[in-house]
Order: sequence, then structure tokens, then C-alpha cells
Amino acid sequence: MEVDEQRVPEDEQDKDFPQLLPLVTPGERIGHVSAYRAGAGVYERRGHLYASKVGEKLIEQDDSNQLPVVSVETAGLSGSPSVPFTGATVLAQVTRISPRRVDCIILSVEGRPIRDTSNPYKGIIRLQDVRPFEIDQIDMLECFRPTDIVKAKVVSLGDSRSFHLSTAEQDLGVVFAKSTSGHPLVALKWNEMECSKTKEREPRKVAKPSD
Amino acid sequence: MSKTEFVSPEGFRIDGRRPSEIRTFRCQVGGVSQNADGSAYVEMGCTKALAYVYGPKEARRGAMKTQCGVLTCEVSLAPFSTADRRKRSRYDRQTVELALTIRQAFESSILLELYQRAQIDMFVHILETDGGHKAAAINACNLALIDAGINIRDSLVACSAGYIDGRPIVDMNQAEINAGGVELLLGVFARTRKVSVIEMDSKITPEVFQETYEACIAACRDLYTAMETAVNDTALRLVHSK
Repeated sequence: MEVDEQRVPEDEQDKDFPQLLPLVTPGERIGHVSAYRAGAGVYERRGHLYASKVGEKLIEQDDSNQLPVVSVETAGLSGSPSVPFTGATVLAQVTRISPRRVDCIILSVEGRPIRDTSNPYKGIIRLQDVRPFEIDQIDMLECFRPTDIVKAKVVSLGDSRSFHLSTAEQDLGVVFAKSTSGHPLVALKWNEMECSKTKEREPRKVAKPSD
Repeated sequence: MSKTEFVSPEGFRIDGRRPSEIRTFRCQVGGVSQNADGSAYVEMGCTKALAYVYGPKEARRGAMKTQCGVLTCEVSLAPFSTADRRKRSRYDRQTVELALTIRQAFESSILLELYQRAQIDMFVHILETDGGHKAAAINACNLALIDAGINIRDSLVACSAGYIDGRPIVDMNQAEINAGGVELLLGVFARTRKVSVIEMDSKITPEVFQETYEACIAACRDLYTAMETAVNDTALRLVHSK
């Protein structure tokens, strides 16, 4: 779709600040709302889309009939630090277990590690977010143990102290844990893991391994 | 050239520049610090500034806002940075004021609504001052934010300008500032030309202001070209080294 350049007011885009090189930089105009939808690293102002990061411009067309999404892929400067957001997949380590909730600290967001470990993001998994069925029969101690590494989704930003996480999906749950004897556990089935050394079985809410 | 003459009849300034010429601008985007999420080093002539950006990270209790992120800024002026060597406390009036200016400037630059409940910290170290350290600090912060991959609306470019001997001069050094004339600090968004920071203590006529302002905008444009090239070079190098 052709973008009408004439509609831009004179003061909006200065011709004295030219585009220098193929990468886009913050403030650079990359399209019009009539042609694209804004993705990550892009913001909209007065009908135009502008880059808010340095990086390569990407245009993706999904199957739906909607407009293609334009986003800016960060060109690996020191990188964008990670903040958990609703819907993000995170890895978290269990710190405390109580009958109604599990406390954990978030280690990574969408595969990006959280570098600043001095003041970690805290997360909680509430009883009703552990699994989607037979919620009234859940025993927290048969799902998680302290130090377990859990793959979870952020359901909401929660209260001022912690993010609310959920493991109520097949591929969410414990991804790494150690048995009481201190050896790594291997997933057996959705609710059981086996010690790699002693073959002792322990209950867990296991994440279905991907392929 | 006599001592009181700041622009010679041939049109050169004390350090050999033209009135509309900025000082040698050097910068490094990233790679200044191992720990920071983003860092940058900026040299405007002999004025040198370092900026570190940490975050976004979990906001400190009490400072946390649920609708947008929190931005903090701290400036330190190295004891050896000025002609008179002296240690400044963390609460020195001059540095606290500069930190506030920088924070307010970048609150309009960063898309803070994307960083709910998070905090972004900026630390600036002025290593040497030869005039224009406020501008250098702002430029360093802008590059460090870009390096950290924080979403910003536009590049914020800052430069100072003065008015001596009936004409505007840009990017003044300390000798020119000591002349005691007008000093204008301007921080503009590179593409929209919207003003984010403006600071001037002297009383001048609107005509003189207009002239100084336009010279300053032109200098910001020159600085922006240099900064943009540096950002692009760094980004391209990193893309290729992947």
C-alpha cells in the first residue's frame, strides 16, 4: 500500500536529518498505520509508525486478513534487558512452598536471562494456576519442591510484590529438579519423575518435554 | 589576536574553529562497562562523559508505579574534571540539578508506559569539563539508552551555544564560557526537532535568542549525524560478528 507522504506536516519529519544506513534508529519513520500494525520496537504517533530501537526492520504477514506487523529486531547492541510481561514464558526457581501458593524467583524471560540477580523479580503460582483440572485435589508438595526449576507463563502482573505465574498447560511445569538424594530427576510421566541414580520416583507437575 | 577577542576578523575562534563549528566529537556506544545493560562514552572536544544504564529491572519498593516505569539519574563530577580540583559530595547542588534536568529530559524520550513496575537507572560520570558538560552528559545518556535497547521515541541530542561579539557561536569551550556572555543549553529530538531541554540564565533580546537558537539547532544536527553514524557502525559490526 502506498503511503501518502503529502499528509505529513512540515514539522513532523525533518529532511535535514537524513537516513544514513540500512538499519533503523529510534525516531525513524517506518510506515503508516494504514499499511502496517505496530509490533515490538515500534510506536505509533499521529498515524505514522516510528522505530523506538536500533535494529533491522521486519515485516511479517500472518495468516489472518489483518495488516502485516512491522517490528524492529534489536541489532544485538548490549541487548534489551528482560522484564516479565503478561503472556511471557519464564523460567523460575521455587523458593518456598505453602499449601495455597508457591513462591519463586524469575530467572529468565522468553529465553533471556535476567542479569541483575541482586533484586530478582518474584513470582507466585497460586493453587488454581498449577493445573487446569482437579484443582481441589492438588497437593502442592506433590507438584513442586524448593529449588525446582519451573517453566511457567505470566498470567498477570499480580500485586506490587510478585507476578502471578501459571503452569496450567501441558508443556508447563517442572523442567529441572533434583531428587532427595541430590541427583537430577528424569521425567517419566505428567506427574512423576525418576532419580537418574537411585531410580527413586518422586511426584511433580512435570512439563511435557518439547519434541 | 588580542585576549578579549573571541572571534578574529578572519572569522576564527580561539581554538581555530568557525563560529558554527562544533568541537571534535567522538563516541563509543557500548562496551564501556561489563555490568551495565547499556553504556556509552562521549567526547566533545576536551569534555568527556561516561554514561551507564541499568535496567529495566524490578522497581525499588516505594518508587514503583503501576502505570509506567520509574527513571532515576545520578551524576558525578570527577574531582579532577575541573580546573580547581575539589571533591563534590553526592548532594552537590550542581550535580543534583543536572541529574534532575537529565531525568526530566529522558522521561519524555523513553516510552515509559512499556516499563510498568520497572525501574531504569542512569549514571553519568563527567571525567573532564571544558564547557558543555551538560550537553555531553545528555548525549552520553541517549547513546547508553540506545545501547541498552530501551524503547525511545527519538534520539535526544544536546548542544550549547553562546552569543559573543554580535554573533552566535556553538559548542563553547570553557574559555568562551568564562567570557561571561550568553549560554544556551538546548536538547532537541533529532527528527521532530521538538525541544526537550532548554536552559539559559541571561537576559537577551528575542532577536538574539532566535539567532542563537537556530545556530544551536544546526549544531545539534551535526552532532546527531555523528552519533547516528556511530550507532549504525556499532550495530552493523555486531550484526556481522554474530
